[in-house]
Amino acid sequence: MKKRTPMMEQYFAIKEKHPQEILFFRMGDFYEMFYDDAILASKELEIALTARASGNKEKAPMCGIPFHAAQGYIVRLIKKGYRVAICEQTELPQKGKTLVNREVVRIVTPGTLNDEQLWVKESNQFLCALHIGLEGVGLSAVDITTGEWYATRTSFIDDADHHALLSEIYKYRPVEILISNEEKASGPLTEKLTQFMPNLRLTPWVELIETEAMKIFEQKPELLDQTKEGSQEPLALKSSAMLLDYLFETQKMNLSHLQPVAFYRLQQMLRLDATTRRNLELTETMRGGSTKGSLFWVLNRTKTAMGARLLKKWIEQPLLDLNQITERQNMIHGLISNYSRLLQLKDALKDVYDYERLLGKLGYGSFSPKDFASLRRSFGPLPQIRTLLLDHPEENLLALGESLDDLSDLWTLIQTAISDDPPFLVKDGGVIRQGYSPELDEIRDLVNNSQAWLIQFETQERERTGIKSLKVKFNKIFGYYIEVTKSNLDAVPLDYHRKQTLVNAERFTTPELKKMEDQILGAEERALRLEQALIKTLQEQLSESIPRIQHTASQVAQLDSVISLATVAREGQYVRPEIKAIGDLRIENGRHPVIEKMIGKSDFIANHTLLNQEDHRMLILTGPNMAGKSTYMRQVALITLMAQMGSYVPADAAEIPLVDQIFTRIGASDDLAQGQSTFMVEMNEVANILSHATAQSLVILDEIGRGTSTYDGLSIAWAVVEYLSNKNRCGAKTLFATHYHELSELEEKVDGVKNYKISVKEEGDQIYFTRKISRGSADKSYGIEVAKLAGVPNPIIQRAKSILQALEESDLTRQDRAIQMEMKLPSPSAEPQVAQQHQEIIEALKNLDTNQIRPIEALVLLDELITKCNI
Amino acid sequence: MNANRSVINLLDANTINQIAAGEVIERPASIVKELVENAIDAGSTRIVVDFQEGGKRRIRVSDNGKGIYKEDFSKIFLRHTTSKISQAKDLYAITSLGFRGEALASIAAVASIQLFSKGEEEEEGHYIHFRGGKQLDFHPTGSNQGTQIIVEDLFFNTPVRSKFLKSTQVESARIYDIVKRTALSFPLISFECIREEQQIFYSSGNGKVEDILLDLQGIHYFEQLFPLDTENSGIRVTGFLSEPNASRGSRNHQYFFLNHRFISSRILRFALEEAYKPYLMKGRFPIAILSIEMDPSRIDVNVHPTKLEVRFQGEKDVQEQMTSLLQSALQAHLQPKTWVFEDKQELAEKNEPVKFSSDNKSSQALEQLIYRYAVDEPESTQLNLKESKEPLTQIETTEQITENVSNWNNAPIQAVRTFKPIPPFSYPSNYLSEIFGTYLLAKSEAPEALYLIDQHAAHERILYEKIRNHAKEHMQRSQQLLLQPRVISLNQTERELTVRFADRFSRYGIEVESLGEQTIVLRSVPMELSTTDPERFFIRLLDEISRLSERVLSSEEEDAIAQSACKAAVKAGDPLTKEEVAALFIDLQKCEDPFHCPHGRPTMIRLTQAELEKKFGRRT
Repeated sequence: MKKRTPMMEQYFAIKEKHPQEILFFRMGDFYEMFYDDAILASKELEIALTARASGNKEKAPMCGIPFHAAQGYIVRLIKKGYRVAICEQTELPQKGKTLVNREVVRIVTPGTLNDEQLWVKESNQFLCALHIGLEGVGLSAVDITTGEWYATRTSFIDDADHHALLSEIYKYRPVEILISNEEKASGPLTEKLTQFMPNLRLTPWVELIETEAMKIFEQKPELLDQTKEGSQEPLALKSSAMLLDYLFETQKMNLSHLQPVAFYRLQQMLRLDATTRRNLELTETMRGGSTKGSLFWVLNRTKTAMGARLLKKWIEQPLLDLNQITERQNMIHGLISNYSRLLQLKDALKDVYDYERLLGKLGYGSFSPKDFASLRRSFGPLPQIRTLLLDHPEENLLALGESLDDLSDLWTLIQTAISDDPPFLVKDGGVIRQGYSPELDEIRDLVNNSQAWLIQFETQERERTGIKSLKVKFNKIFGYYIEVTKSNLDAVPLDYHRKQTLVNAERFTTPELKKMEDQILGAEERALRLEQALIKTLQEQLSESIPRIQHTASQVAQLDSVISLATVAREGQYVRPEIKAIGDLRIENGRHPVIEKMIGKSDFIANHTLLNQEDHRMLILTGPNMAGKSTYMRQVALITLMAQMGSYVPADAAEIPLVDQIFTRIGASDDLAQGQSTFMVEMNEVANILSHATAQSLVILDEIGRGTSTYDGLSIAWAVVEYLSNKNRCGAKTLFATHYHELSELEEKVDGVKNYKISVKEEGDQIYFTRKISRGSADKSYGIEVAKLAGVPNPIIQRAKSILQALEESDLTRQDRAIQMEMKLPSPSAEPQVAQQHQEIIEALKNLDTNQIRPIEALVLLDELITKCNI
Repeated sequence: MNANRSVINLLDANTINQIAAGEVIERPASIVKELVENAIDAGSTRIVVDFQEGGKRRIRVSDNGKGIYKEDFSKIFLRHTTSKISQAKDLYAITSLGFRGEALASIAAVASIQLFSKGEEEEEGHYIHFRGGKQLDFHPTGSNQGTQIIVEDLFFNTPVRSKFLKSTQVESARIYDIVKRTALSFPLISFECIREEQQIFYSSGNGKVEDILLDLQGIHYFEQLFPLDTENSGIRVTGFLSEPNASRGSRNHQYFFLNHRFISSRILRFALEEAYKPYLMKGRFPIAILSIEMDPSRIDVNVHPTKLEVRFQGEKDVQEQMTSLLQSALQAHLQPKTWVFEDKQELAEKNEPVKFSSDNKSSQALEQLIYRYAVDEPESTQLNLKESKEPLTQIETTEQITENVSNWNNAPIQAVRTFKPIPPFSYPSNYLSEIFGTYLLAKSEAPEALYLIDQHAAHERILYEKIRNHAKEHMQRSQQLLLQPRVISLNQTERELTVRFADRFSRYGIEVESLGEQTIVLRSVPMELSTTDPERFFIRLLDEISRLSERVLSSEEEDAIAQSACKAAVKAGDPLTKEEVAALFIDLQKCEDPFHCPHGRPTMIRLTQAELEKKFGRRT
């Protein structure tokens, strides 16, 4: 068998090290791909697939792209989810060597590519890393397009089944996650991740030990602010180091725009679990994942991309600190009270471009001359914004103005240096303004004078030769020439050398012209090089100011977000909620912000809400489906969240006590897609709620107990209600919607439980939903009427009605069944008198270690215990 | 046994309603007005007006007022039912806006009307559907506190009526106007106006009229207005007036509210314009948003079904009092040396105008003649006869003129419309004088006659033909790029006009680009116009266009733009320099129709000897 060519050997050696990537193999002016890579690329990029002799009589499939067009193709591949390894020629071809050295210099991945085509204006592009330690998991997230960097950790004690971790990861929506090899292969966390976020890209990477982690940071010490709280936390630190390590390996860039890691603790904020984030449709809808229909869609009236991204973060991460919340509220109030000032600020913001991301280009090395102009335009309104804020009566806005660095020196720098309308590419010239560099001006004058000289030359030649139509022109291929029409050829003097022949004319040059041409072109080239050098210096100067610019960007984003909230509050007639540390949750005529916007305020029926620590701890909500129960419960959650975000809320009045966590268990439509049964998932989430909810939490439960037999479901629901409402066990504020009318018994039996219903009016044969929530429990579920409304054909409806009648008469009536149940139930206060069996059960429970047990085992055990109780 | 010879029928209620509807409901805007007034009377703090196709297809008005109880649902569509008065003597102390009890009945008779409402103490609301006077449905429903009314299929049973409705655009503009005015006079109520599912207006109800104006007109508009709050002889006036140098080309920017009701009143308009007379040039009008409060017993509102006109007791007194109120408010606000005068003086010095040279007596006579001719304007100019009785100048001979004119009433004189081709005028041989800074007096030799040339009308004609011809011939823009593009702040209406006409503008060399939500950039003007103030030109252009009838605007004829452009470009009231007079004479003769300005008004009036002799009674 013939051997492969040396080049193919080289190729294979390199390819072996990068099995996961598409290898771009540099050959001259092209990047080539071979074998499987070629076939794949040819298909995905729609380029021609050819072949190349590879030595052993076979032809290797091959396809290539030109070097200068590579970026576009790379972006397309990344968009499709591939990784690309760029392998360059590291030395020039030399005599005596047939094979040049080659090395992979860069690996491009979704998390490490900063290209304008991939930017989504209102969203970050996070790359995350997970470090799984003994006590917990460290999570670090960086966005290389903006330079933002956050890190935190969870502990196994609090978060055994990773709910909190999943929630944080979901919050970031990372385009790529680094995880250790072992974990990726077979870890339980991986399983959960891929179930919850199926399109997630997991990249195996090496976890570092502490000393290694510190070493990595030594290379870029400015990224680690040791004085900041949390920077010593090992798990968070290690995961951050993992990220930095990855960035170093895959990029050879300066990355000067990365900000110091911002460490935070989960307990500092309102915690939402992952399903809650999704269920409440905070920034995207459940179906379709679009922005329209989410809370963000309602609240987003920002003028800048930076403001939009910050607003999203505010929504996804509401606060737990009264002072911070009050500050935001005060700013909103100040803006609403002074409408002309609000309009002026909005007007000033409209010129502000997304310079946070432009800084990313600076750090990434892809900064273009046009970007200078965008920066300048964005810095322009800053002094005016500052003036407007300094003049504002509201003190927080005033403080914002005082701390705003208006970057006027940088604006002046760019203004004096860069021309009014610079081109996209440096090589097009005309980037540096006249008057900035005397040297450059001189060269340009030279060029200009030469141009003037040419015109003079033309006139002169015309006179000399007598050819009135003689022209001096220029093109890129032939340079400068004298063009004479064929009819005048006889008048051409001897010192004209022919350069080019055309149909109707001839083109000539003279020594004089040639000399001038050289001078001009030489000067142009010198000018270009000088410009390049000047531009580089300017970029460096700007880079030094990156932290200042980033600080201003975050101030501007803050202002923009607050203005957005003020605008929405004003137009939507929202009200300022009273926020306190503890107390009653009261909402007067509350509305669902998204649905209200979609159907119109006049058509949305408002409802009151009362939840407190005493007699209204848990509201059991009954009534037919489709009548508005889910909407009502969601609006309570959203209003609470909005209040803790510092925003105004859609209601006539609201008092909100600080909530530490919001849990929701709503609907079951997507669960089947994930390969788990509805009931399983439901119990999973219920288990999570039961183990984490506190008296400060808000719990929303929509139909617990479906997906299994009636008695089982009812029993579980009953038990859950008792547990949650019990002040000594949990006592969280809970809204519980259910189709089990039996549960309405609990108002009598359990402290803190109150029944509410969504009212339905019957008139003759028709039912009408009033969408009003009122005290009491629904006596009918109107299932048949709802079916009729939904369009089930009439014969079936009538038949159903007669069957129902028969069932109700022959079988026990609902009332009777309830009475029966009541008799059977052991009362909760029967604890002191325990039978022997109960003692066994208690023992079994005592020996149970919940840290070691998987949820399914817990449920099996629960089932056994229930059975035991019933004997 | 006698065959039924009776020919007179007793009309049923429904027919009565349809007839009444004709008086009350002329168009969708009338419906909106009635429903909005009902909402206000119900104590609402929030009102939403939502319409489609100018209201011809659908109108929705919803409020958060005290609502309608189930028991009253059966009565609301009956005529002459109202909650506002219960007997006639209540009419004399009206404080509510609607009271005649006709509105809902009228609407229900000629349209489909759905009403959702929930009374204050009710738990659930109710829904009722009426169409053409018949009830179709009634049942409970979910509803917030307040009332929501949806009107559809307007005039479905009286198709003749619906033919009288104007285009969607015109009807939309009318509805928008009503919402705007009502919002301005009730700043404590929040209004929202939605057209074709887009929000076009929102007021927050925080009581600040300034905020509403900011939204309507943009930040820069407001800088031109000053507030006033003054009282005299039982009349209190509050609101905003414009600085004299921020005038407009039409009366569209004047809003009068009497005891919170939007009204239209000649008396008040006169008073306003009288007060501004010293400061404004001809054809320029102030911006005014005035809320007037006076004892209701001095006003009679039960005049006309649409309640737009009011009658005062002692109209003359009211006018005088208002005039003096406004005059003192203006004087109090302005510095002794006003902007307008400064400008005029400067200009006068620079251009060395030709001086007026005749003696006083003949000037008076001429003035009277001119005055006389001014009365005979053709209808198309939109000035009505009465208004042009206002003296054209500030000369104190006002009273004299009025007296003299009444003496001339017996011999009406027509402005001569058709001429033989005009004799060659040239400067300075045929030129006599200028007068009032507006007219040129010229004499022709053969035949001998006196010509009075309206320099502005003539200039308009000249420009108009130039612009129009240029656009026709060259098909490419002949524009004059502005050295410094101008940024102009526009209100909603102006914006819409700009968008609508942007393409047609560019054919004349007027290039505009949108710069943001409320501003545009003006980059070039037509070459023929050398204007020192492009911004003013553009604003005036828009003003002029907005005055043109819809029919003219919709036609593709280029005339509309040309007409407006030239009118906007002519500077009013400035005396011409010698060169300008000479140029005018020459250019006028080149015109296709030198006798009429683009709007049809005469550019010149000729007096032959015969005609003069008639005037002086030398001939009969």
